[in-house]
Amino acid sequence: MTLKDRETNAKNALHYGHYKKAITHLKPLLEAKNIESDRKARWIEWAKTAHTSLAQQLFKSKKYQEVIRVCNSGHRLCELALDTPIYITSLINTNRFDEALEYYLQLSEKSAEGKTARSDLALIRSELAVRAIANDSKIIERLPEDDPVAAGFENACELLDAYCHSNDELVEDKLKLISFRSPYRDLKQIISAAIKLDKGSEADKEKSRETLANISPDSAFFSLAEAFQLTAMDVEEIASSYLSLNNNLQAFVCHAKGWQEEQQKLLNALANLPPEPGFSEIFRIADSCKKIQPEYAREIAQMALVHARVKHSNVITPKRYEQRFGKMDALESQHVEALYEILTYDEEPKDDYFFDPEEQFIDVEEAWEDYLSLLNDENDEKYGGMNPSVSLSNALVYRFFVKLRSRSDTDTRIRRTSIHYLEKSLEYDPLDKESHLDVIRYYLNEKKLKDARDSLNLALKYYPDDLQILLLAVEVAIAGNAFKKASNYAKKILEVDPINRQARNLLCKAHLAHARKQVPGGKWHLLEKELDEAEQWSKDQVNIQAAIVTLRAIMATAQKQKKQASEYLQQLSSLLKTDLNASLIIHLETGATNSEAINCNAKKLHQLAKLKWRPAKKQKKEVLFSFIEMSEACLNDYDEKVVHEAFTALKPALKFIDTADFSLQDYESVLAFWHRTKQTDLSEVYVEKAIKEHGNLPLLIYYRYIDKPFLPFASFSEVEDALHRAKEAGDSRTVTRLISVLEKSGPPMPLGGFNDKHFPDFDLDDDFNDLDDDLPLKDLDEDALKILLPELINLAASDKEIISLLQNVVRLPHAKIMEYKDIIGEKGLREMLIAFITKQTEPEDFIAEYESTKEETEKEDKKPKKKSFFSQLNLLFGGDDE
Amino acid sequence: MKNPYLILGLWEQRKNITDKLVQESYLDLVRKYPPDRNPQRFQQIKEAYEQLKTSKNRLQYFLFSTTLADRDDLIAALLPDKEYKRPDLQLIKRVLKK
Repeated sequence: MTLKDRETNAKNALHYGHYKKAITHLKPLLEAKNIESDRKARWIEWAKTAHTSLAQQLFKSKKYQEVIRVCNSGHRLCELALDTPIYITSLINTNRFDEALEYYLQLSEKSAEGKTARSDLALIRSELAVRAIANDSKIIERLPEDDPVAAGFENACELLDAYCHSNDELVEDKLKLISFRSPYRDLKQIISAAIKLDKGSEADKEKSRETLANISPDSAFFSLAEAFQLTAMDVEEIASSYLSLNNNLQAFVCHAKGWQEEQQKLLNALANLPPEPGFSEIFRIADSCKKIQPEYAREIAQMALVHARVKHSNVITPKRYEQRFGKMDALESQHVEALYEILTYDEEPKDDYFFDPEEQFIDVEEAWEDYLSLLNDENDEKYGGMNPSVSLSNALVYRFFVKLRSRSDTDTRIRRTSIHYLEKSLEYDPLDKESHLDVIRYYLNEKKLKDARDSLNLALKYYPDDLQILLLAVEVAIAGNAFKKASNYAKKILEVDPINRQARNLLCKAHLAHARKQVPGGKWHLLEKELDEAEQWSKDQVNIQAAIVTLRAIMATAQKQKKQASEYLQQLSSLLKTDLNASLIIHLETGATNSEAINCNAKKLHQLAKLKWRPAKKQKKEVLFSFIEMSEACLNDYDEKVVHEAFTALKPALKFIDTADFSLQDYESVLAFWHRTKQTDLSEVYVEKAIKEHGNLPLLIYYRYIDKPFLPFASFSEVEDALHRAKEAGDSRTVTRLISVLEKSGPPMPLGGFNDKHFPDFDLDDDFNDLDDDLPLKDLDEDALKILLPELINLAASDKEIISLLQNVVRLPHAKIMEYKDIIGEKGLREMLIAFITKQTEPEDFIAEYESTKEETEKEDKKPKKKSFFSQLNLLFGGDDE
Repeated sequence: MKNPYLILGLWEQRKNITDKLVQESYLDLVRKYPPDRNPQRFQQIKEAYEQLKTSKNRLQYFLFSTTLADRDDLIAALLPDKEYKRPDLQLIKRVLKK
């Protein structure tokens, strides 16, 4: 390669920042002889630039050895100056202090003479200051006394010592002595920030974090700033960056946080964990932390054991737990068992067709009952049964059962059992208001008024002034016709909360209900008073106003004040806008008051109101929707029988509404209403009209069959087809509804018996012949067992066996069975078992039904017996009474 | 973090915990992590408070909690953020040494 080529290559390499390449080309050029001085001077300049630039690159990457090598090579080749900050700092960083000091002093002299920039020295000085503090104070001895590094050294050391010993007053003094140009300037900032991090306000801390973050990574004190920054972090943040720290920083942070050596090891393990570790990882951590936090270690290991068991893992077994953490006591062990049952219950696929919540629940119940029994035993032994938290634990477990059951609450049977748990929970914790409310609401909804009253009295004992309980008290009293009581409760609420809307409504309903009771007896004065009261408490509800006006009309009619009655009825018509609504209220009120007894019936009122007894056919759509709205507002206030009679009377009008402009949505809301109010006839009429207009849509097929007592054999495929179509359309709501139709109706039945043309043709004789006489019970399916078991129980089981079956199948404790036996006798126990198997009747319900039947029978027995039809005949024809 | 005691920084006091202590800790944390600035953290703190605010809630948590600890739980429980301890001079020198 010619010199010219090398020169061009060196120039290009330098231009593109390829300094190593430039140096390679420049070396032979500078060694070449007989070169013009100008040309050589240019190459020397290039060589200096190439070496300096390369050294700077390496310095930035903290490759100090390489920096020294490059600078030395540059010094030999092109007399590159060595008293540069980069070279000196690199010497310091490679612990070559003697050389570093030599060049540093040269540079200081130059600086004093004004030959170099002061900033060149600042970097070296702070590096020397850090070395002096960290490594070797002898450096200071070799510096002139007036050198800034030497001059500030003692103060810096005293500052750090004062900080480490928490002598903050001295720290403040020492900080003041560090000037802006001092090589210890960054140290000053770091220690000021560190003090605020330790003792300052939240704002100070935040500011200190910023100060530390602003210390440049080029600063000699950067590692100290980084260390203090780490101590200000949350433990989670430290854990996530812990592995990337060097040993000194790790030790610094752990010391600052007060963590022992074992905790430092643990931090290493924790830093390696995923955010959601599995049970085996948790068990491993528990094992390694059992000395530091034994209780926590046991706790998390137990939970890991529970989860491992649910996942059928053999990695963590009770034996392994015992080896690592010692044996669990009986109570602890049973708690683990009970938690396992909860998790297993939660893991079960609830949408599985074969999932039986009852069956799964029994395991949970048993495990927790066992836990409670151990807990109660311990309470008796240690605290004489007086530990309040044990009592509360009992209550909470029973409430937990209710909560667990409500997750799969599909039928009323489960709710019936839930109430039993709620009542039990109240025995242990009678102060739980929510449970009181739930129990009362349940009995009220089930119309078990005696139980509702008992529960209410219990609740009022603990919460005599609670508005929610008092509101329920009003409802219970109204349901039991105790209107005065209802009014008293409502007034009590209004004393505390005068604008309580619910209380006002209930009070109004109580007065109205009481007013209705006065009609058959003709107590007009009392009726008038009650109506005035009712009116006072509810002035804005049309249905209440309508009821009041109608009752006044009834009263006037009964008192033969025709004119006044007509006025009231006209008032009714203008209040309700449509004749159909007015008719509804008249039917409801005459039914509810039994006004026939005072010679005032619906027909008479219709005449007085000039309403057509049979409303006009083909009324408009709006009339029907206004009727539905009205009905929704008031139907709950009337007895089911009264409502049924009112609807029956209005059926002709309701059947012939003009449906010409009905949309599918209109049909849907009307059909839903008929379904809710159990108007099967009306539903039939409207569903057929809807199908005629909109085709056999799955939703309409649902309404066609939902109110049928059973699904005819021929219709089974129609519902299945609709179900298939609803599934295809992704209409999950209709799918669920159609499944309920299929489930409700059970397997298809041959309506016309074996002669039904749809009934599959098979030879029954052959089937009977095929039956094995000794068919074992275990091979029978559940339905067959339901039929056969009662027979077998009746035929074969002894009384002892019945008790054993009640214990094992119904899961009744022996003491309870004996208690029931005293009430219903041995025969009753047999019937109870059969009822449980065939109808899923809970024993408590069986007993309740038995007792109510018994009460009725006793009442009947006490009444003077009417003479039978035959004895009356005998009397007529002059025969003997008998 | 899932463990309410750890979220509220009450792990060490759990044996002698009171409703007042729970409430104080909750309010301190809400002041530190207000809902407008730290909605997620606030939600976590609020849920933890709901789980521990009364003795009944705490007993309920003890009886029925089946939650497996997560990494943050383990860190918070095993490496408690104790009061800051100042380093000694030797540690500072080690950090400064390169």
